Amino acid sequence: MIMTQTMAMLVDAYRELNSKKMFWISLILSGLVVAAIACVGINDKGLTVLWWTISLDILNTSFLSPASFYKFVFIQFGFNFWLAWIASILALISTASIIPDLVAGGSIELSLSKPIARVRLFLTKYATALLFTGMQVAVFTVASFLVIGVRGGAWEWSIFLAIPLVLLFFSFIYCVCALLGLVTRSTIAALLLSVLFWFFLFLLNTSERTVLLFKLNAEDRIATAQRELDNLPELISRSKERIAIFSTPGEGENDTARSRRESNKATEEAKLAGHEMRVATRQQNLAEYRTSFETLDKWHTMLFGVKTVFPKTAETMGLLERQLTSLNELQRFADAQEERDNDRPRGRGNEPSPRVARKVEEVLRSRSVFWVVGTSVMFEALVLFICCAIFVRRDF
Amino acid sequence: MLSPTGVARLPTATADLALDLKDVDKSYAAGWFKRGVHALRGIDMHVGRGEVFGLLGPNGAGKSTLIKILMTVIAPTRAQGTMLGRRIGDKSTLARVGYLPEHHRFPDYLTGRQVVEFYGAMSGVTRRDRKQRAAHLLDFVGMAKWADTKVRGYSKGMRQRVGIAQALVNDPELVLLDEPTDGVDPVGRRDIRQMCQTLKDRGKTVFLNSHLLSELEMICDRVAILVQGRVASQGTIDSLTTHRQRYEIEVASDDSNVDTGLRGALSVWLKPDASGSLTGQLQTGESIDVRLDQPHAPAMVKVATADAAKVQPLLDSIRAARLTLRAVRPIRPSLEDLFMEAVTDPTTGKTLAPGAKEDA
Repeated sequence: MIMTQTMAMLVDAYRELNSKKMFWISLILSGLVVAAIACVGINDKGLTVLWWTISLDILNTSFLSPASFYKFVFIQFGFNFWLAWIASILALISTASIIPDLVAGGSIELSLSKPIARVRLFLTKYATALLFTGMQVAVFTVASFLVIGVRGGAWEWSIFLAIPLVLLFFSFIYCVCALLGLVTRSTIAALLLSVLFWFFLFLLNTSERTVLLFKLNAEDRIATAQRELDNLPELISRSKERIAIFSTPGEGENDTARSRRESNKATEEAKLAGHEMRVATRQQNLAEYRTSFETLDKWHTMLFGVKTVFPKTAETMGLLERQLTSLNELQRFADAQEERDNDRPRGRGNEPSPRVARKVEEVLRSRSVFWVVGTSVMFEALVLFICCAIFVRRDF
Repeated sequence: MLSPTGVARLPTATADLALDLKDVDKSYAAGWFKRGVHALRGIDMHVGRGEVFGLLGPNGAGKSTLIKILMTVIAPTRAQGTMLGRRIGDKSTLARVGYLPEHHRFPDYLTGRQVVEFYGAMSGVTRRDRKQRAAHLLDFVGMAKWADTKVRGYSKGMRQRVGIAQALVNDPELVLLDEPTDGVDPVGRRDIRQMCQTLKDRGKTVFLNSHLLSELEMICDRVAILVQGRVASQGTIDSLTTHRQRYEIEVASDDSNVDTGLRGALSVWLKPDASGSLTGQLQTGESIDVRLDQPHAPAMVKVATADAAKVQPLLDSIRAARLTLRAVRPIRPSLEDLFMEAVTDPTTGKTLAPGAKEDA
């Protein structure tokens, strides 16, 4: 009986999505996106679009292999942009009505009057939404796998990691949508509030990353200032030694030699004064950097704590990039960018350096899969538990 | 199940009862902006297998709440008893029960056939069986021609018919129909009545909740009247109406002496009353009520008995007083009379306000 009921609900969910046309619209759009990716290529001169070539000095096969290019395009455009944003929003629009429709008056009586436990009924409905989102992602991923293989010459199996990752990412948002749909019984309210929750996660993630960047920047400055401070005593003692040397008149010193010595002594004294002033300045800077680091560290700890409780959508999606792109590849991109940026005029002196940006990337990549996925799944499990508790206890 | 006279009698053994409800109670807790409501106040109800049972009551009496409790849509505050031999709330029993909710809403992207098959699958009916039954049931409810049309194109009556078909797709032993004739035209109502009769003939128990008293009267073996969350009365329509049956004796009022004539003829039974009304009782206790004050209407003597023999002495006396008898009629109250009596406050004589009683 369980299989019969589950299959019936799956078929019903398919009919519902089919009737809304959104499933097919999403699928067609996904196909167009993959086709667009397939149309773009790379050769020794630059980028190719169908049979046209756009000459680019910074983007050609001498700089990037076709396989890396397609992986890069898939991750940045296909995965981080299309799947993480547009396709997920379309999937949310398609599936947001599933729970409000389930609990709608006139419909829920029919469902609850069948020999099926409420928890199973709710979770099966929830799973159908994820299943159809999974189907969309699977179709897109298979098509992308073929494009990377045929056009880039790399059969990258790890690309299929996109399917569970996007499903996890979507489920983190959808569980909240399901809870809101259950509480409000309104598709529009559930959809809008879910998008608001998504925006909150985006803000939380952006804030944490920004604070982390500034915190590491402050740390970097502390290290630089400390290094300078550590070197200054040696420079001071060296200057003092030289002043002492220049203070002692040589035997049979003529006027010219004396004048040069005194000039050298004056120069060294000026250097010594400069070093001593730098010690004071650096000590003051160091104190300021430490204060700012402590403040940023406090904020970062707080934001990190809040983020630990909530789903980590960006990091979950970042796991694919971690898998497909090594730090060395990122280093090459960063070095090339740094080289190019060196020609441009720099802004204010306290801008984070590319070294700090790389360090941020390293910190983000060092976060464990359990922290990224495990705690997010725990959040989802908690939300689903609340949903089931409400659904089981409510009188319809 | 049926007695030789065709009157259904309630079986006493629990195994013979489709529904055996004891002390079913439901209270809705008070919220921030609403007061608590005591929807059901200890319902005791018994429905025998194979009978058509009618549940009636005014709006807000708790009829739908009771059905929803049986179908596990609502959790009771307190409930004892069984449905098809299993405790109330047991999910597995629902595989043997069919249900048509009052304001049902089928997915409008499905056809009538798909609706019946989908709910069949949800009841655990195998693919082959539900295909066969869907075709048969859609024909049974007169929807074979529209079976493959989307529900969104159906009229209210067509939706009700498909609703009945889906309630029967699991070949249930007990069918609960909540307002099945709501929004259905007279032809449809007759068809639904016939369907209920057919189901009864096939040994199914039919539990009907309806406002249409005349229809319930036509098909129900037994009824229960629910008023403000309590069972006001239940039993066969005959048993409920027997003690309310009476005889009406119509006397021509053309004669100017009809007033004094009747008073004299019935003086043995009538009691003097300060208010001037003519009431009395037979030796066996049944009440007599004489109406003389209706202008342009015959004088009327009402005797609260179903026994014709007990009326004969009164008729003899009226004839002996040389008054003209125009009619002698046995009067059997209708279900509507019973209903109105149940929903009328005996102290004020006014009908009770609709809705459940709020908790104090």
